[in-house]
Amino acid sequence: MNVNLRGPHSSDVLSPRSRRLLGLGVLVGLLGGCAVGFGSVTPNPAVGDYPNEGSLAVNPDGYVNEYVQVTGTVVQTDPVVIEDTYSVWVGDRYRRGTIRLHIVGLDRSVHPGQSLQVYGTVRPDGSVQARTSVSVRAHKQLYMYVVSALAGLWVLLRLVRGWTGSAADLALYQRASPVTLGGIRRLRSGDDTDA
Amino acid sequence: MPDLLSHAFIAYTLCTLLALRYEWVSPQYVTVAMAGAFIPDMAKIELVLDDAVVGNALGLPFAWSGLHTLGGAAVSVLIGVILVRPAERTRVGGLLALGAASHLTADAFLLKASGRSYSVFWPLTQYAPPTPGLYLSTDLWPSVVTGMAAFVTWLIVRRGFGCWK
Repeated sequence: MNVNLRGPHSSDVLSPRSRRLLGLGVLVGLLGGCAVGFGSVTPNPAVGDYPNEGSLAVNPDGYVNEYVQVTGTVVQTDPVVIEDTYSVWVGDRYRRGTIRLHIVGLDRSVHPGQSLQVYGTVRPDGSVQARTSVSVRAHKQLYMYVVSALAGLWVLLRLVRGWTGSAADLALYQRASPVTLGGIRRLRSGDDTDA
Repeated sequence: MPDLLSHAFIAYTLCTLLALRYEWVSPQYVTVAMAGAFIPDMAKIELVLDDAVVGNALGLPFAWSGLHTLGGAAVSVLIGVILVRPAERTRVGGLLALGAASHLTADAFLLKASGRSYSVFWPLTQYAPPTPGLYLSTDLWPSVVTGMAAFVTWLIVRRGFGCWK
């Protein structure tokens, strides 16, 4: 289905495709604005947004006796040390690096390689006095990536079966009826659209 | 929630149940809600293109996780809306928003050490609501439970199992 029904002598300056392109440009710009805006947000414990390991890395003395929530991989168990890479905007650019934090008073046993999140206060020596913690075994992260990829494939197949697109119109159309995968192969080799 | 599969199951279940009330909700429209459920996780681009790389190139602070908020999701939904025919925009917008909202909500229930979730309503507010801590992002059972819910919903609504249809 072609939505561009106006001729070249239309009084409209922009074709539907150009208007769509313009709209897309504005929205993608707004989306970038969201990423920049959210990147500019600094932690605020008063509203439950706590400083993290990156905050501690670039300002080690700035949070003594304050609550933080730090996350990292356990690299040592006695004493418990977690490690994480960070990137924090400081001044005019991102500072990146790796931080190691000593965790004191943990209420659970941990193993090297597992992911650990700790909520607690920063002690004067820079270690974190744990109040509560959450840990994840290393192999479970792999599970998450595998099933997430499966989900992506599932929804992609559903989209391709039920919808079709036109690069010329920059648009997506609902197919009159969903096609089978064999049908899609036939469409690919012949006429590409049923819109 | 956790993994994308659970998010897809939740959106499938919610949207397919809507078909009981609204006849126009075909499987094709259910797919739209499922795609909407993927919107907040566009923030996972971070895994391949680091915040710092983009930020330093732009000379501005930059966080992909801004897409995993009310504001980022709303703009993404609008992108989906202008890509479809005008006659379909209300339905597609509603379903994308349903999917994205179900994702943000499920993620607000994730277990955190601090007991506070994340700034889900940004840019309206930075407030991170308390989380009930129902699951970890790596837990297996949420995908089993949501998968069963999706299966039962499919049986009832699409296969006419029980009294409907």
